[in-house]
Order: sequence, then C-alpha cells, then structure tokens
Amino acid sequence: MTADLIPPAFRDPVHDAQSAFRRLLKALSRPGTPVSFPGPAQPPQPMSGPLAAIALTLIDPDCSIWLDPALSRDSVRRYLHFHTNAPQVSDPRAATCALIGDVGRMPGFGSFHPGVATYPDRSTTLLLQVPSLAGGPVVRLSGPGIETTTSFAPRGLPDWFWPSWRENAARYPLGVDIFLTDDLAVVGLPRSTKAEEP
Amino acid sequence: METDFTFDDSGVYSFAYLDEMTKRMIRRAILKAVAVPGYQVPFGSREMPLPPGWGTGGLQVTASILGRDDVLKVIDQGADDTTNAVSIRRFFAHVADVATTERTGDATVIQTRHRIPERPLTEDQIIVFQVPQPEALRRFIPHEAVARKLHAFGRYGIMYVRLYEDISRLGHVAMSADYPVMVNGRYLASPSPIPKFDNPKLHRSRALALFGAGRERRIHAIPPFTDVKSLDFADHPFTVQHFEACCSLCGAQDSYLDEILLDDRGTRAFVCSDTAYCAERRDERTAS
Repeated sequence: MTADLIPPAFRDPVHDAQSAFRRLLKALSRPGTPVSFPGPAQPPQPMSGPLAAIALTLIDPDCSIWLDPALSRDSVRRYLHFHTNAPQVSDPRAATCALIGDVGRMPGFGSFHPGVATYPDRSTTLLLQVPSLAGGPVVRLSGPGIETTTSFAPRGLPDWFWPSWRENAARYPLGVDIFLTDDLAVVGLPRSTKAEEP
Repeated sequence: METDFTFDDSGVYSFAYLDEMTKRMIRRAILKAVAVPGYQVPFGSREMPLPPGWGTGGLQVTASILGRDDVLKVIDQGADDTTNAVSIRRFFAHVADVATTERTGDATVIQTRHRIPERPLTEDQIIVFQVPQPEALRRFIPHEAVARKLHAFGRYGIMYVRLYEDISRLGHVAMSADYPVMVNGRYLASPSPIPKFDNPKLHRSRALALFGAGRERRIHAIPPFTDVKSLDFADHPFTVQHFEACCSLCGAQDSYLDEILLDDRGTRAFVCSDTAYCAERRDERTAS
C-alpha cells in the first residue's frame, strides 16, 4: 500500500516555487554558473530533487511535458500528474518541457521544437539530469549573461552534445533552452550561449 | 503594516496578488525572454487593481518574481515619492508583506517607470520596467503580424530611415526618450521611454532587466552583460543629453536633471531626477 503513495511536493507551494523560480532565473541569466537548488524531500525515483523542483515550479496544465524512457515510469508519471496536472505527450516536438533522466541516451536537439521564426518562444525547454555538474570535460561558454567567458564541466553528456549545441546556437533566435541539474544545483544554458571546446 | 481599508483583508489576497497559475505562466514567459534577449514574449496579461497604462505590466512581472526576502524599490521618473511609485510600493507592502526601501543599493528588486537609477546596479539586483509600448516599430507598422515578420527576418531598415529623416531635416535625431536599441545584435527593442541618457546604462549592465507591458501583453528582457547598442550612423554617432547646469540641491554634474519652475517670473532650477541619488549625496555631504 505504501508503495502506491505519491510523495509530497513542496512543503510551502507558494514560497518554495517562488524561491526555485528565482534560482532558475539566476541560472538562466548567468549561464554556466551553478546555482544551488534545493528540491522536495522525496522526489519520485529516479528523479533528482532539483529536477522535481523545476518541474513543480514551471509545469502546470498549460505546459505539456515529454518524459524520456528513463523517467517514463508510473511513479514519475503519477507524481507529475497529481502535483501539476500537466498533459504528458509522446511526441517530444509537441512538448513545452522535456524531462530527461538519462542524458547518455537522450534524443538529439533536432527532435525537439525549436520555435518558429515569428514566435521563437514556442520552443521546447529541456530539463536534463546529469550525474554531476563538475568533473567532466571542460567547455568555455560565452554570450549574454557572461562577463567574458566561463568554464563549465558537466559529466555524463553524450559526445555529440557540444557539437550539436553549436548548431543549436547557430540557429539563434530559434533553438532549445536547457537546464542541467545534478543532486544539488542547476545550470542554465539558454540558446544565446556559445560553447567552445578547448 | 499600513492599511487604508475599513475592513480587515489580511489573508484575503494570494501572496503578491496574482494566483499561482498566472505566476507560473508569467515565469515561463520571463525565462523565454531571458533566453532570447530583446524578443517580446506574449503573455496573458491579467486585470490588475490599477488602470492599464499605470504600470500593470511591471506590476505583474514584479508580482511573479517577488519573494518574502526581497527588498523592493519603486521609482517613477526617478522619484521614489510620486503617486505611481508610492501606490505600487504600498500595494506590494500590503499584498506581499515585503520590505521596501528608497535606497538603490539596498534594493533587490527595483520597479521603475522611465528611469534607471544613477547608482550602478549590481549582480544581485533585478530591474523591472513598466512599458507602455514594447514594439519599437509600432509607430511605422501598425499591423502586429507585419511587425512580427520584420523581427523574424531582422529587417530594421525602416527604423534607420526614421533616424535618417530626422538627421536630414533637423541635423540630429530628435528622439530624447524611448530611443531604439539593438539587443545582442539581433532584436530591435524599445527600452521603454527612458531618456536616451539612460541607454548606455543598459549596455552590459550587471543587473538583469525585465520589461513588462500589461496592456500590450508582452514581456522582454535584457540579461546581464548583454550588448545593447543604441541605433546610430557612423557619421552621426549616438550621443546622450548633456546638461550645462548641475543639480541645485546636491551639485551632481553626472546625473539626469529635471527642470523646475520656482515662481511666476520664470526662475528655474535643475534638480536630480533620481531623488534617492540626490538624497544620498546630500547625506554624505552633511556627514563629512
């Protein structure tokens, strides 16, 4: 019986969501800089706390979501359905937000909606759960929100990630925006950010 | 907490007035706006307890970002003590119970109508602009769908023609406020009707700038360290207003000045438009 219980969301829905949003805003306006991100105490496995917190902060019935196979489990689906009531879609292009638990096997950026020329805001926002936001191969980021350059070294990204990100940035103002999380923090990667591998 | 109401309405309003679903919708729009600097993101503007044109867009953006730990400053044409600023500050003190301040350095969120404070903003501050008309092209392109296509193609020739016509007729660009800017080299944006004196402060500012237009239902943003170029020509570079006078209260020579009439005979004086900056300078002088 206890296995069927849906874990609770934010303890204080109004203020926890506000604080989480401000951290997301800080992360996106300072790309590449990790922002500490507390999550709800019991996220549904295999979601990390920060990933669950982003979902609870941004998602509602007006925001469709797509779950990758790693997250596509009953526990996650029921949690998100109960707490956000967001429509869960099977086509990643139709989703406003895509939640990805296993970045190693994530589909390419081309599978998601890049927005349209007249409405670049209609793109998909990707929420990626990575093993760690530090300790991986280093890339140098530049663009709006970054004073000169900043280095960023997430672990667990597939080999095609950064070459493909350059294509995404080249499509600017179209393209997807990404939030990467581990168990502690979130990093924003808006489409305006350029990445260079040294 | 101060209240004007004869009935007790504590606990009646949602935190910061807007309901959670509206805040989420506005928050998603703000994130898109930050990701595409200068692009105007449509959002479902709500009716606010203030007429459209009095800052409903800024009010909704502020309501969506404001938290209990924030310190709010509200200015109207630089002044903390004008009707619009006082009403909005009291509104948020009432519905969100946030601390308010007049000191620019102490604020975490600054809602402004038509000015940027003289004191440089920091990384930890967010400035929210009240925007009457977010579409820089609206004066020439009344049709929304056409303006949107020009933005999509990045075709901004018509704005340069407008600047050129001013130069050919008057010898200079006759726009002292709401001077169009190019954000991140891609989108033409209206900086809201701030004096062009303030345009250079937007260029690679350390603070995040959010622009809310309530009646026009648009939000746009300029993230920190983003290139913001005021449109100009190589042989007619952009210049800001220059004042011969200095502030008659604090003596500042570097601030934007308001001209005030002192009597019926036309005696005039100039004072800082940023009242907090002026007051702080006078305090420092009396202290030293």
